[in-house]
Amino acid sequence: MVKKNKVLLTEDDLSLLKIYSNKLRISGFEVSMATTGDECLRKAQIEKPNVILLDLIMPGKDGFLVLEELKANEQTKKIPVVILSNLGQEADIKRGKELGAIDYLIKSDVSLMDLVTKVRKYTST
Amino acid sequence: MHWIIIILLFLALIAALAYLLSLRKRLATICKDEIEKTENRRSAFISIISHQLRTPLSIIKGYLESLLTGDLGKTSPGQKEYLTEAYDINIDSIKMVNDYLNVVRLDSENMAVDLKPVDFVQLVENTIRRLTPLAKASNCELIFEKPAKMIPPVKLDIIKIKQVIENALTNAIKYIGGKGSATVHVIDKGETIEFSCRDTGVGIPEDQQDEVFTKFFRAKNVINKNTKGSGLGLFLSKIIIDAHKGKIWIESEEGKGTTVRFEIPK
Repeated sequence: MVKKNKVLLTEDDLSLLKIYSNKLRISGFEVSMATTGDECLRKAQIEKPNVILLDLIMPGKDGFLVLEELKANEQTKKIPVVILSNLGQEADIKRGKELGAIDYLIKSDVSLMDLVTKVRKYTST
Repeated sequence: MHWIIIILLFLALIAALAYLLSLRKRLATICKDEIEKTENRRSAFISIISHQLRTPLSIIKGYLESLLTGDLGKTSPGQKEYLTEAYDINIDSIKMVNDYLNVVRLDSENMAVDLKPVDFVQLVENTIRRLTPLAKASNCELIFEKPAKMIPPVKLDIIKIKQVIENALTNAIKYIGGKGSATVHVIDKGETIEFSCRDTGVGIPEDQQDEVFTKFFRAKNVINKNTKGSGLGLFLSKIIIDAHKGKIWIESEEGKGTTVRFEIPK
């Protein structure tokens, strides 16, 4: 059996969590979920996902801080992180990329199929 | 004695002037800090508002997409029709929110452009490809008549120019309103590059053509029809093209169609 690529989906909105996780599972990925920044950091270290989808506005540690910590940790720094947020100002996009995000997607502008295509791209490299 | 008084007065004058200068400097610093603080507050406000407005729209979009693609099981043709209408309205709402936020954002950013060399033809091609499903759903065709010769990279702000191209194309699709086509040309004019999008849509009444680039403009002949729009697309496009030191204009005939053209320096 072919091992599925694992996506760590970090999202505090339960509706979006349901929508994205369902689509990714249907598309053949194994999905692990985190609803806070701390949970994302913990799971990233233990589960070593192939890609992390990271929300920015979350209770507690925000996505920027999580990204900074992921990239500062030897064990997680190589995992590609795609920011998936509804913050869309150029300054936010610039900051996310400078902190090491491989891509920045705006939830309201990206379709579920586009999301799957991006995740496929970053799990196959 | 008089000399001593004059010298003392002179020294007092210098001290007063020095004090006034330092006061002015301090006031300027305070004002600059306050302006910076206000701008930061404003930027944070836009950021949060955009997040809060987009989130419910993203959730609705996600649910509708899941239903429409059949991820949750088959839908009947009647259900699909209703879902498609709801999906289209949701997309229009997202576009409107983005337009409103762009207006506020552009005001606060004073429209700075980040010019970098870009393959303009590729940019147009990618945008057309992305919008082709939308055109097909409206039963219209997007045609790109590519230039015969290769065009060297053009210095532009890719995010903003993409927005202008997208706006021209989505307007064409919207106002063709069914069977018809939009033809796109890119012309290398030496010092400048010209983009044009000619559609076979409803056109703009002659007496209103001077107003198309004003805020909230919507032509009378489309307000009555069931087309949604913020009336900000061309307004934003003009701000963006002006910031590139270019020009944007339209040629239109009611009932026959509209051509949107812009030209920017290479």
